[in-house]
Amino acid sequence: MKSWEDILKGRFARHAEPGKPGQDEALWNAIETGMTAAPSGAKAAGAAKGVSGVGGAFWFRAVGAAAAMGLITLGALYWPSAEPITPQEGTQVEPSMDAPTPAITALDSEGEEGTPSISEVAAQDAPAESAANTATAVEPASNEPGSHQAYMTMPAVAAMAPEVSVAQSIPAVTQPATDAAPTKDAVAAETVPAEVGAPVATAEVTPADEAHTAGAESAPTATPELAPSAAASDRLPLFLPREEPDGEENVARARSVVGGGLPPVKSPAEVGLEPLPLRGPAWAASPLAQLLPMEAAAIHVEAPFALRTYGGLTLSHFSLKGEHPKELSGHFRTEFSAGGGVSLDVRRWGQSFSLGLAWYDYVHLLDYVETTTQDYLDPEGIQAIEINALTGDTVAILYGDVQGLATQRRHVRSFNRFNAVVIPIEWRTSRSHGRWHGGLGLGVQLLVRSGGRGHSLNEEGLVVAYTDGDLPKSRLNWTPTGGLFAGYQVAPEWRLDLSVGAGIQRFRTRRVTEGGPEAPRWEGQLMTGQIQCGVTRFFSRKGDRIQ
Amino acid sequence: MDSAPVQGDFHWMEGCKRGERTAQKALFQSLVPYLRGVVRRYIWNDEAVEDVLQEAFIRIFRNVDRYDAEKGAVKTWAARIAVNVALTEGKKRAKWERTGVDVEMWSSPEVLENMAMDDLMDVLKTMPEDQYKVLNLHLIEGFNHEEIGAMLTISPELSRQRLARARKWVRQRFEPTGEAIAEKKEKRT
Repeated sequence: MKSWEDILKGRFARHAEPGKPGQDEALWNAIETGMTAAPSGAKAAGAAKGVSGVGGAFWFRAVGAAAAMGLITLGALYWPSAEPITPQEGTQVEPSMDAPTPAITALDSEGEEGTPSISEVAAQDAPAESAANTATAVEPASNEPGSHQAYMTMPAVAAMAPEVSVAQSIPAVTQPATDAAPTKDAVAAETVPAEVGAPVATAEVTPADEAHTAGAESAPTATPELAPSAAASDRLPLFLPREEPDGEENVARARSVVGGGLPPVKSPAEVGLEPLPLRGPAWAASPLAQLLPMEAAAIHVEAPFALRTYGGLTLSHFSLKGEHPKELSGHFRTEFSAGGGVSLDVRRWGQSFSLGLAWYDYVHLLDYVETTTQDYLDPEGIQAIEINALTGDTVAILYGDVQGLATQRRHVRSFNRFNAVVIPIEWRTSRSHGRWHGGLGLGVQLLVRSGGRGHSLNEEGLVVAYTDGDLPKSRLNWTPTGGLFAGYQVAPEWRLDLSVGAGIQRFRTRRVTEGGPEAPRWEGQLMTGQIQCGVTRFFSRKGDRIQ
Repeated sequence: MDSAPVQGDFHWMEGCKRGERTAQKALFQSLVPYLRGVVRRYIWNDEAVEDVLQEAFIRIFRNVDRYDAEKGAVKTWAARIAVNVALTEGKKRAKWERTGVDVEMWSSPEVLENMAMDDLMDVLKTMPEDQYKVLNLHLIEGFNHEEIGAMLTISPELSRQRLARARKWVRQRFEPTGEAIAEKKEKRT
């Protein structure tokens, strides 16, 4: 008698399955199409081999987050200074500069009454009233982002053109600027050197300003229609330059323009005025940039100690190891939880070392359909049916014991929890740019398990529940970690932090001792990650002062 | 497994190496019934079988230069590629549905010989999938446990373990022991 193995082997080896009519032809056509296409199919099919999809996705996410963090850090450190806006970019302003004649004339005639004339300005132009005053006059315009000059409208620019020309009269140089009410002329003085800068300053001239301006009534160029038109039209955000031209340069340029008297009416190009470049990228106008400006004065912290508190999301992903079929790991999904702690950073030998205490809770999900089969014996089963070959009638039915196989399925969704008190020990290196800091940290975490429970899978693919008591008797574990961090120095003693980190650790049940109670057996590894925000407080030695 | 070299296949392989479409089609027509039978043992869904065959043949034609005639027949080499693709595809798809016969009668090995192939497959489908794969790969395809371990990403030891379980499973159904037969008869009476 042949053994079943030989029979099976022989039957399968001989077995060939011809396709249905037309099936082979269709298959060949598909193959031909596939052959002519790019060889992505083969790669795609092979890609499923190896790391499970979920595990791969976890690492994709982790690496992606790290890369994003790195880019943010690099961006913060090496953001290129903005290119000056070229005159072409401000062409909306250009036409407004070409029609100043009526305003000039008006001012010239009115100057004797209310506003100092150009010649008077020249006479009053003393060395003492120099760049300082002029610079002071600039300040209100540049440091009040909420005021009118933060926005301008295209119609307003055109309407304000006369004032730009008035600016050539430079009387503001002689008038110390006041916080509350810069005169119209003072405003005009600001606009002298620059075409592009002109709208910024002229927008300041609103009816409200005029009310506080001494010579407002006599200044025909400050048309009341300007402000309403500005308010009514769409506003364009305008980034205000923080680095104003030197005051002396302003004055010198103004003097060169004014000379000994009022120059003939010329276009700005003829006069030789150059546009004042607006500096700053588009994002610099964002609320975040206003809150955490890149160009703010750098704070170099050389404090030897710092206390850092942090907290945020934790991620964990579990995968089975050992003799478990790899595909079983695909049923474990990454989930989120939370954690936080405090660390002491010590700066020594140009390096930063960190020792802390934290508590992390990690959660991962088991989503699995468990299938179990069980043999049973049916005493009333049909063993055989005798049929008349000619008539097809049932002749006899033989009842008796029949071996059966029962299949059961259950869907298990278990959020597995693992938490631990953690002692992070880390070496950190960082670079800074302005107030921004970024860098990476490497180290280890010593974990003291504080709890763990959930469900896992054994080698047979069956779901097994576990509690803290089923986990290893020793509660100590360790994990190597690495991460990236970025921070913003809000004050000499304070810094805001953002960090991402990842680690990996063994995670398994306790070993079964001979003769002892049998614990559910599984072992694997837990990949963990943290996305955290925090605050760092710097401390100096007694008597030292943090710079 | 049939490892006898087929002269025609070798001839067509040469043509395939030169990229001749007629040779490729001839090789396809020669292999497709056998490979369909091979793939059918791992994939149950008809549509998926065709997908796997398509992918397998594309790989065969793209890797035709790697074929070493001294190592075995074209059929064997192609079957290995098809099995690999089928296993990969099987991982991507949901676990098989055990729609096979749930109630079986005790049978003798001879029944296996005469059973229709579809019925035989249905019977074998009731075996745990992991064991079934190892049984097929080792017994039918002739892979050793190291190779199976690499293909299924399990250890060779686990492969041996699964094969032993699979053998036990089949034996229980198709080679009832004398005691079992006697016990069965006793119950009947």
